[in-house]
Amino acid sequence: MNCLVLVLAALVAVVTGETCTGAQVEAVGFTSQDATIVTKIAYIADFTLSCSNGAKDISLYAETVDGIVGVARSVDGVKYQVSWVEDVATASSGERPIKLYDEQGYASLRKAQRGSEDTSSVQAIATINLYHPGAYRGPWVQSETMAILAAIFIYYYALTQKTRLMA
Amino acid sequence: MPRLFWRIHMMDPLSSAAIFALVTGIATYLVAFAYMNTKFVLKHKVAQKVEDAVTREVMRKLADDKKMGKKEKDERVLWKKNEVAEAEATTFSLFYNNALFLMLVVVGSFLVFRSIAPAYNYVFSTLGAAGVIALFSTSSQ
Repeated sequence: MNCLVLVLAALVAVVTGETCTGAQVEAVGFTSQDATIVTKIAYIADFTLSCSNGAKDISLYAETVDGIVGVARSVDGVKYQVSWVEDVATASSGERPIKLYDEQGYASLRKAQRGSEDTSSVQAIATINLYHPGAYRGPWVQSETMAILAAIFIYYYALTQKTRLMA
Repeated sequence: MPRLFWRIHMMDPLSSAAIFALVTGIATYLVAFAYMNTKFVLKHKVAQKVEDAVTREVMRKLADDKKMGKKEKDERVLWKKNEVAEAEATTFSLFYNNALFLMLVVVGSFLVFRSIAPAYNYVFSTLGAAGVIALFSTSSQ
């Protein structure tokens, strides 16, 4: 009987995944900063996770601006990556919070969402702030517009001079 | 001018060489025609404006020359006036026609014909601009 309890406990541990307490996140972020030829801005956060209880190889979920996504994990289970895209028009500059959840947190988050409850009561194990400085969308005034205006101005000057001469 | 269409409108210089040469030739003729006409119209006006100044200048230079008769002095003034008016009218004609040509090409190429194929854009905007300045130069106003 004891043996069975142990096996069941092990199964539960495998299914729900290990929990991570006292999570520390080391993150490096990337966002697209040139929007002259693209239609979407990419957000990527690379991070490593260390837990004070020594839990490793944990399945993580992230709540981003784009919704809840699974976090990609490297084969050795050390590095994690979250990424999503936003339309250039809606991608304003500023901080993008990424809340990380483990299996349990993810389950309670989904439960809260299904029940239309307040999701802020669900504790994230860590939060990453991904800073997007804004993307370059090209010059405010196109160079051909400047060329047209300059040419018109030069011709206007020439015409006034000619009018004065012919008067 | 073909450089604009090579760099900005991405026309290949080698495969478009024939059209570049032809259009440049015709445009050169039309622009030169406009220079000449505008200069001719302007020269008369310029001559009237510089007349007093040139007369004063030439008379002052020839004031010490007692041997020279009045007729010859007048001839000198006329000749000088012609020279000055010719130079000033030519310079202004170049400036005026260049300014008008540049404006028409830029507006034509970037505004009017911006969405059509580069080869047609080039032909229409360049020949159009050259034709318009040639036409305008024939007006006497």
